[in-house]
Amino acid sequence: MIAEASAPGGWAIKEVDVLIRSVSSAVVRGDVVPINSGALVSAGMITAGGGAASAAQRRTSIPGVALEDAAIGAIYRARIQGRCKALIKSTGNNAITRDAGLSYGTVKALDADPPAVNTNRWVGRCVEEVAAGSSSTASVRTVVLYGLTGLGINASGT
Amino acid sequence: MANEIIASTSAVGDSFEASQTEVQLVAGAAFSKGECVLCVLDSDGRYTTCTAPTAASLGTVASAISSNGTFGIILEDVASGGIARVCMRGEVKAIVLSTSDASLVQDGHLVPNTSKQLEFDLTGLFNMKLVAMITASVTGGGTATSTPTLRTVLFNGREGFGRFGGTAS
Repeated sequence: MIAEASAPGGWAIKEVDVLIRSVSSAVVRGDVVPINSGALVSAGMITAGGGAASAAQRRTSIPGVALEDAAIGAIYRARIQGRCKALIKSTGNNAITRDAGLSYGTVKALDADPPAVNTNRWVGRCVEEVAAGSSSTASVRTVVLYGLTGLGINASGT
Repeated sequence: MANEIIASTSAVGDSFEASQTEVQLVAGAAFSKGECVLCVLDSDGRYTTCTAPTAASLGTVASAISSNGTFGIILEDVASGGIARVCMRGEVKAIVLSTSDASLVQDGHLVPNTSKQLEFDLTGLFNMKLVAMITASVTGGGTATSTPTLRTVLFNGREGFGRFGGTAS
């Protein structure tokens, strides 16, 4: 058996970090940036634009969460799997509860609001909750990120 | 926490071993071997407890949005409040049924239900998380498959095997 196990007291998703060069925008700690899968296997430094993800990137790219601020051209550390502090929001200003799924949203944030996530890739779970009425503006909260594997892609319709 | 396996290989013609993740969680209720449970995050972002799957954890089919939970399979009977051994990924014996008593087809996908079972019948479960594959076929009829039974499955309650793409009704 190939095993991965935990002692009593809980289990956490393994943390995976990468170094990225920001090529077109500065990033701030907690920003969610799209990393194309090719970047992870190509020779040389991983690069990412640092801006908000396009619709296609929200559906298919690997999200990285900036662990530190970086200027354009600077190299910064990003987490692609595991616990981290990331921008999250609910476009509908709804409560974001613990364990709630988070998809790759706009404005460099993960989004929990159903109408905003159609066709997007589910990539995380909320740990640190946000109350209804204060969630439409993205704020930095603790999440568990599944950037490498994702949790599926949401269907397009309602 | 042990190291996560990145890759494994097999010789030609050999079977392969699925990457196995077994965790120990506080049981939120008494559970029996093979039951499917919902693994719950604590305030530190660790999975520490398990409960019976809630309807919300299965996803809201009517809205075509399915923000599903993280699921595991109980490996041995446990009392409420005890330490449950839970398989979150790998080959495991789980309680499987087909409500309609359909024949189980090898490689068929399964979704969890609130009765802590894995359901083979997917009609109407649009966009729900597929968490297991049945490893052997079973002919339905009578109550052959509608009776919940321990069967070997390939399970992944973390990432799942994708989502059911059928219609919503």
